[in-house]
Amino acid sequence: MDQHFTMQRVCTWAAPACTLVFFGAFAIAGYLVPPSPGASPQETADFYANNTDTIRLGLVLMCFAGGLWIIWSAQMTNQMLRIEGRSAPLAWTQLAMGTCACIEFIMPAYFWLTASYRERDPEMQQMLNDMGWLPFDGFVWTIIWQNAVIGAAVLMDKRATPLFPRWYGYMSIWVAFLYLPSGFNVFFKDGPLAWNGAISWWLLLASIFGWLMVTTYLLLQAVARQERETAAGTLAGDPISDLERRVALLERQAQAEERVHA
Amino acid sequence: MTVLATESLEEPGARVSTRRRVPGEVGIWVLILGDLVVFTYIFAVFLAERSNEPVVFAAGSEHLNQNYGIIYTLILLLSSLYVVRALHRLRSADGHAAARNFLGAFACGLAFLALKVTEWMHEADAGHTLTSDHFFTFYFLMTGLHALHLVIGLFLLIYLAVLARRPAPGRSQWILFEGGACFWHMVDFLWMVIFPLLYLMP
Amino acid sequence: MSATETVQTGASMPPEDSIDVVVHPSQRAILVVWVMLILATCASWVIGINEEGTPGDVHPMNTLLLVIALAKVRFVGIYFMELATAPRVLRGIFEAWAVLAAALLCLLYVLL
Repeated sequence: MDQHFTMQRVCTWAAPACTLVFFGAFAIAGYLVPPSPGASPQETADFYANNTDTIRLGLVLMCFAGGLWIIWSAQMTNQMLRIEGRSAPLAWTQLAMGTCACIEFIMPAYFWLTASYRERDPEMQQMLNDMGWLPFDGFVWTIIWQNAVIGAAVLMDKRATPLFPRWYGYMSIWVAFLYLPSGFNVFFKDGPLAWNGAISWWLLLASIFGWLMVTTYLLLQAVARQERETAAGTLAGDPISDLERRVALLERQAQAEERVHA
Repeated sequence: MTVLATESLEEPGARVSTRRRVPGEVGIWVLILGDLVVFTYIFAVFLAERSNEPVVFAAGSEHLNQNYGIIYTLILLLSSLYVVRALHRLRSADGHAAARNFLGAFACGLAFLALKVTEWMHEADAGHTLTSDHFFTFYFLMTGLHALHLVIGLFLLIYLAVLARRPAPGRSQWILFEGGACFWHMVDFLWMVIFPLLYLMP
Repeated sequence: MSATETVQTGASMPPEDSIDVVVHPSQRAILVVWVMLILATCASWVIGINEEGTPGDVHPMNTLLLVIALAKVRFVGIYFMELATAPRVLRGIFEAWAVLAAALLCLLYVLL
């Protein structure tokens, strides 16, 4: 059975690609250092009026990061299925959460793009700006669970040598907690928990993408191991290949019996 | 039954082993060290913000009850001692005594939580909330995050107390005992840094 | 299929039948450390409540409080969390963190 190792690797590399695209695009748009929630409507309107081209280009590019996020999430589910088998609530939850995370990138981008699309009342520009920033930081409600179910699945792995190291399970769950404070940015117009704050923005960025790099590395390891074990014929715990092996064993036994009785 | 012989470093003729082991398992330490880094980051941000508004921060700190502060620290120190004792009892294969010690630590933690909630309510009554000024943003953020860890620790302690009463703990139980103990000690020592930062430094 | 182990082979387990012994600090040593932690806490509190000064001033005593706090953390790690018998790398990382955190926080306090 073809395990599609090359395609698995390609999908895994979507994660670093997502990271690069995100940071590059945001840098172009001038969004890496968020504006202050305390900025006046006029300041906000000026920002959009003075940087229209770079904002539009940067944010359109940033939308690609959303799609790339789903691709690596699908690969993660692919590997999680090897842990859970046919009955895999966590793997499917992870995929669903990863898919929703795409919205977290793209929807705010379109609010900002709308602001850059026409000249408007400063008050309206500020509203569109708010509509982008509040969820961009604050929409952690799916990535929290994405991390949590990955962590849970890793810790539930019953293999002698687990597919992912156990510390990664702990780390994933712990990082989910790090995302949590950002969800409360709506309470603040300044300070560490505001959308441009040390915790809601910077810690969030470091957590998400730091964890993503570790995840990429471990996913590649998992694929490499799957490849090695398939080549050596020792792929264990994989529900489909287990079935195939048992069938092969039964066939051999049946053949042996035939020869004996023949 | 798994019995780990413990010998005092001070006993004459003690067998000193070169064997070193990770308490709990590596994953716990990824979590603990990670938490340390993040909390240190938060403490650093706190000090940076403080330098921007020394008066606000000094006033906020003055308003806090320093007596509460030290009581919290002492309660948690006691709870840590209980946890150390619990592990010692487990290694002497006395599960029931270990369970009692875990429950002792739990009681301390619960007392801490009760006091903390009272303090929060008191501050809220006085008009100090998460958004009232920057000092209190940090106060509620730091004590809140700490309390979250404490609550997780409380659930852990109950679970460990139940686990301790079962006979013959195996490998995965020992990982839980040691790892859980380390988590609780982390709750204790995080408070040790939060206490002077919030309560003692004007 | 062959039954595989259902438990994680962790890096740390109390030996079951081995002669190898991990020597932990004695309960007496732990108690001594604990009493010292209590005393250090009380000392910090006494220093803290007796401090006077204007906001924005740098008090050398405050750096002392930070150092005491991180020193207490270090002792909790070594004695209570059993880092004394842990692999040197782990212990080293923890101790390094304690020192770096103390230095960083003191520097930030003094310089800012």
